[in-house]
Order: sequence, then structure tokens, then C-alpha cells
Amino acid sequence: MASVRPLVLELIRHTSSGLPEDVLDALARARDREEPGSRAYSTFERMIQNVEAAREASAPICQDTGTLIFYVDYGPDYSPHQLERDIVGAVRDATKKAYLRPNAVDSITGENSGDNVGVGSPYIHFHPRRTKGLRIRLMMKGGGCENVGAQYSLPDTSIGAGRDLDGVRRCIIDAVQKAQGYGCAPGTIGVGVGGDRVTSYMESKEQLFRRIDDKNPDPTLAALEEELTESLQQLGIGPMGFGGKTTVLGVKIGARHRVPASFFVSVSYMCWAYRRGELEIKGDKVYLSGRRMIPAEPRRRTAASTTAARTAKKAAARATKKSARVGSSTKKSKGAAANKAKGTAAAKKAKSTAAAKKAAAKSATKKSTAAKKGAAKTRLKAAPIPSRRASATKLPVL
Amino acid sequence: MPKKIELPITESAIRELRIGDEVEISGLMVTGRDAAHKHLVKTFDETFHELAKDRFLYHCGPVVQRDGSGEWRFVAAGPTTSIREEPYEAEVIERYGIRGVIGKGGMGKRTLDAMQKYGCVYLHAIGGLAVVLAQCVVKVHGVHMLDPLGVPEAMWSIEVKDFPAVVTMDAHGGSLHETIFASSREAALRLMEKGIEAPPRSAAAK
Repeated sequence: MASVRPLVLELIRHTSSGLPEDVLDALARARDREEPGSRAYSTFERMIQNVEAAREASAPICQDTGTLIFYVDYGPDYSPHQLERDIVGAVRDATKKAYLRPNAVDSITGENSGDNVGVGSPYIHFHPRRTKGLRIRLMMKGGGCENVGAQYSLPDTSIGAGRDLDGVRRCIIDAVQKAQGYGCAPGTIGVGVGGDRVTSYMESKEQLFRRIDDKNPDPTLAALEEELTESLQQLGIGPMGFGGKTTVLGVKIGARHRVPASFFVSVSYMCWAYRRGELEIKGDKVYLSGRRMIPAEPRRRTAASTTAARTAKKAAARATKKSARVGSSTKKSKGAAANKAKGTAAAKKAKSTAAAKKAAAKSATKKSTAAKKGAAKTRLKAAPIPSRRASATKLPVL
Repeated sequence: MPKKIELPITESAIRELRIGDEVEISGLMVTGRDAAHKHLVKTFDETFHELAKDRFLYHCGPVVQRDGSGEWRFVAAGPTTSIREEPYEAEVIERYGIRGVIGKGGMGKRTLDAMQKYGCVYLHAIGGLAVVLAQCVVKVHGVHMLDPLGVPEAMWSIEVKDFPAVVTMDAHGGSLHETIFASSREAALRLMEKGIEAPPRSAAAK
């Protein structure tokens, strides 16, 4: 298995510097619900501007690049040990390139590790699967919104929450109201019902990997999600807690079995800067958040093959001349013939490489000019997203 | 329309601001967060006093880059949660003559009282607006205590242009956070009482 380190680095860059389309759409809808000129309207407007600016600059949309949460589903063709090494390596690379802020602090000494790597950081969940290939999902969750998460143990008399769906609903309303704007509202609310204390919170986080506009397969939970997404807006907390018509972008609920004695409801709050990304490898195809990545040839190898082609051509020409001149010498001509054969093979190889390069360039043009121009310079790049280097060389930004 | 604010600013100009006002800030200000606040109440820091007097203190741990010529540049610079500085802020306002605190999430009663007493406001920046706000930082003038504190915690002297924020705590004891907390609590209780609309799933019903 080849190293996925550069691919994971690209996943981190992509996730850190933009928002998924469903989130961006939800923000635009929220803006359109507000009166133009109002505080809430201009706040949403600035949020959307920020996402665009971050994409263009390939810079983190929020300086708190958060806790890095990786979920890895790997087939039999991948080794989790190497994947772990590659992911940790990519996290170090990303920190060096300022895609990530150094965010791993020793809880006892207070020392920052400087490269986002530490005990339990980044945290990676591995799930083996039978089918070949690899899927890595990444969520970057800022500290501000993580701090407003809450876990309830039902019954909770302070909010009249019993051990039923109505109790679950009360917990969600309470948590969102108490979160105010502190978690960078409007948030998306992930809820885990049941499990133990750990798996309940885990469920709430995993819910946040869902798209905002999807529908819960469980009809009861789907109805509750819809109702809460509508009625929580009545809290009027608005963007950043400035007041407004949108307090949440969505509510996502998952349930797990529990022991009879426990009934936990865990609420994870995801800020509006909702960063999640997905890298998928199927055969020789690579997808970044659903879009095909165009693998470009590394520059060094391109240069090497060009040189090889040139050398081979010269050698071939020399060999032809030589064999014509000293045709009588068997020994020499044998050598020359061999040389010639070698040269032709090399030239052929060079030719086919050039053709392949051309074809690659052609297919890239279809997707994006930026990708085509950047192809020689950048190792790997998703077609529609200009890289930091691409924007630095003033390539068209899409 | 947002009100334009130029730094440094006088106490009377600060007292004209009211909660809910949208502002755009230009001029020199300074960043500081957890470690800086801890340090600022332990000793009197002359350098910080010069950087902060009659100016604003920004709760921010930026991502910075240094270019070839040694110039610093803010890459991402959104606000961080302010309430963590609640134990220190009242004293910092009093000692250093700060006229505004920029951050997110608002602050508590002690800070609000100090703001009223000494003439200071809380300006709420938009969290997660890292790139747009970094672009408002037109120049990094210098950095104080970079070595002991590290990049996010150091005190950065920055020049901003049209930095957007909303006044959420004013120098008259008003707090938008308190107002919205109270109204949203009422709405939450109403919602809870209304009860669930979806049919409850019961194991017994199956």
C-alpha cells in the first residue's frame, strides 16, 4: 500500500479552509431569512464572505483549527499501523504549512507540543471492513463549541425530563438555550441518546458527520429532528448570540441501546464553521469530499523523464551514425545495435510518458484550468480548489 | 450603518456607545488571552500599558506567518471565548486604562461593573471569522513576550482597518447577553411545556 500521507495532508487543507456545500447553503438560507441591513443579516453575510476568502487564500476559516477527529474505514488492502503513521505525519506536515494551529497542549505541564501531535492527539477511530479501499472522514471541532456540549442523565427534574422522548427533547432545548452564542451560533446539534457516558457522546459526534439536509432513517427521530430544527429558532439567539431568526442550522439525533439503569442524552454543538471532509480511495481513483482528485505527476519525475528522453534520442542518433560509419566492425556494430535498441526503447517510453502527460493535462483542462496549470507543480489537488501555491502564482481562482 | 471608531478613543466617546451598536474599528490595538491576563494582573507591565491605554484589547490567539523579510502577517485571527478572562478582566481594565475589550461570548458581572465604572465597552467580534478579520489586520507592529508565551498567547501590537464588531456590553451596565439569555430562557420553557409532537415510540406498543 502506498503512503496516503500527501492525500491526508490535502484532506486537512481542504477541510480546514472551507465549508461543505450543505453547510454553506444553510448559512445562505439563514441570511435570506433576516432583514437586509440588520445585525443578523450582516453577520451571516460576513460569515459567507469569510468562507470564500478562506478558500481563495487556502487559509484556515477559523484560527481554532480544533480537535482533529479522524474516522477511518479501511479494507484488507490497508494496514492500520501504516495509516496511523501517515495520518500523524500528515498532521505534522499540515501544522508546518499553517493549515493547522498548534493545538495539542499537555494538560499537566501546559506545554504545547507545537505540531498537533500528543497523547491521544490526533484521535483516530479505525473500523476494518471487508471491501477493498479506504475512507477517511475528518471533523475539525473548535474548542469554543466543544465547551458548550452537555450530557444529561435522565431523569433530570431540573428541566422536567423523564426517561422518554419528551425528556430527550427537553434536554436538547435546554442545551441549545444554555449554549447561547458561545459555541459560535448558529450551530448544528448532534445528539446521542443511550449508550454509556462515552458512547453516548461518541454517538452525538458521529451524528455530525451527516449532511445537514439529510433525513434520519428512523421516522420517530426524523420527526423530532424536523420539529426541533423549526421550533428552536424561536429561542431567538441568532448568529453569535446577537439575536436573530436562526439559532440552529440542524438537529441530528442517533440512539444506542443502554443498560436499564442508565439513560444518557449527550449534546454536541458544532459551530457555524462546521468543518468536515472525506477522503475516499476506490481502486486507483481518489475522491475528496465527493469530487475526483486529479493526481498530477511530481515535477522531479517529469524533469527526469524529459532528460531521459533527450539522452535516449541523442544516443540513438549517435548509434545510427556510428553503425553506418563502422559497419564492418561486428563487435562495435553489435554494441551500437544494442545501444540503438536501448535508445529506441527509451525514446518510446519517453514518448508514451509525454502522451500520458498530455492526456492527463487534457482531462485536467476539462475540470479546471487551475488544475492544469498547477499540475506540474502540485503533487495532488482536487480539481475545483486552488491550492496555496496556485493562488500564490496568480492562477485563476474558481 | 456601522459607526466608525478610531483608536485611541476617549472615555466620553466610549460612553456614547450602546448595546446593539454595530461598529468598525481602525487604529492600533493589542491582543491578549489566557496567559497574558494571568501575567498582567501579577505585575504591572509598562510595555503593555503603552500598547493598551485608551485602546482596545483583543481576545485572540492568531495564526501568524513570517515572510522572508522577517515581517509578521496574521493569517487567521478570529476572537476567542472571553469568559475565561473573567477573573482578571476587571483588574486589567482598571490598571491599564483599556477602553474596549473585543472577544466573543461576552463577559460576567464583575467585568460589566468595571466597564461602567472606568468607561469601557465589550465588543463582540464574529467567531470563526478568522480570514476576514485577519485581512482587517493591515500591519503587525510588534509582539510582546513572544518567547515565554508562544504565538497564540503572546501580546501582538496590531493595526486594524474597519474591523467589524457589535457592542454587546456598554459603559452603562447594559448587556445584550443578559437580555438575550432571559428572553431565550422564556422561549425554551414555553417550548418544553408545549411538549412533543412526534408520536413517542414505546416498546409496549409493538
